[in-house]
Amino acid sequence: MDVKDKIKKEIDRLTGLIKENERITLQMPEYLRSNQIFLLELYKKQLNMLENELIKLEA
Amino acid sequence: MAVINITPFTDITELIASDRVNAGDVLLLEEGIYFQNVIITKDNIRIIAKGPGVIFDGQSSLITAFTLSNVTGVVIEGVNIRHYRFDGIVIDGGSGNRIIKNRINNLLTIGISVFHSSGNLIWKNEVCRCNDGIVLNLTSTSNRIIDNIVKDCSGTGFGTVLASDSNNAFVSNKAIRNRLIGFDIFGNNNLVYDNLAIDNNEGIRTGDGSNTLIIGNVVKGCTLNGYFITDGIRNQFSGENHIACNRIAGILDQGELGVFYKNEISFNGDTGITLFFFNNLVMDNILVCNVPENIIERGSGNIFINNIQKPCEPCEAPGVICGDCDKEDNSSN
Repeated sequence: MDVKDKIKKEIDRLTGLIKENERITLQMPEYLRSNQIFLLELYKKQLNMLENELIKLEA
Repeated sequence: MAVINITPFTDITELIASDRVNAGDVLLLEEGIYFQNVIITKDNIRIIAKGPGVIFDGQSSLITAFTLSNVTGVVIEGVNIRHYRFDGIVIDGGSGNRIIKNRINNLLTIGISVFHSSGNLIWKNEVCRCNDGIVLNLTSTSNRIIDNIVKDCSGTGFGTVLASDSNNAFVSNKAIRNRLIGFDIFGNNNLVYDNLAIDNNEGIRTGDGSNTLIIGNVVKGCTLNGYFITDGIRNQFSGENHIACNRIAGILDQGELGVFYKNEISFNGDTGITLFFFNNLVMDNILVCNVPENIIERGSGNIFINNIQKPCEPCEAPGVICGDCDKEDNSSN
């Protein structure tokens, strides 16, 4: 497996997890929700960085 | 500097963000079960478990136990983490943080995840039954991963992901029974020294980088290769590794200009060393009873000096010799 495959797999995994956890976070009580949203944003940033790495590698 | 006692009822994120906590303060965690995501946004905060019963349980609904967000000098010591939906401990940016003696299990993703961060110490942690154990990603450099154990994960034990994840050191760690790779090391100038990889799918893999050092490791009982050097790796150095009882090759090399020096490679099920490419130096290695051959060269320009090669003795074969060797080593860990 080369680095592109590795990144693609990671992107797929993160995308699925973010989507699933956004749904779960919406059902949480208010006092837990803000930290969860902060963390989801962090993982979205990570996902975005990985997507940029993949674009660079495929260019 | 102050010591602040923390109970499971304290909102730790809010406390750290407040004026009540300053750099150098110790947050001393009382034993009990904590249900929270902790986000640390202040430098030099030390979060220390008061005893072995400090448990952060995400109850399969919270995302991450501890997130160090662009901070320096934070310590997390002695905490048990379980049942979070993402990672146990995340270091996002920043540098020089210390993650020590934590026990992390049953997470959906990574035990300890470092991204875009440098100079962190990850020491004496245990990670089991997660997706991956300890992973450095997105330009994480000069991190020290020492004396950790990762076992029974469904993915990789220890890993770096990109070419830019460089100058990291993995020393004296153990990767046991992980379903993918014990040590999956991409990037430049990474050191893998004195580690143990037993009963993983593959022991060590290096990719997408150069100048990797693989020294003094023990790799045994893997389903595939002991050490796989992927296509394009240049100038890797493997010295004094003990690679035995892997079902395919001891070392499968698709790199070039590498050096294999004083390794002991024995009882592997499909060759000791297979060289697919060019201009490697293979010197002073001991190869014993690898079948069908101790060394196979498919590339060219490789140089072989002073290697000792022994065929199998009568009635000796990898399947017979290896038997339970991985189980013996597992039981001692």
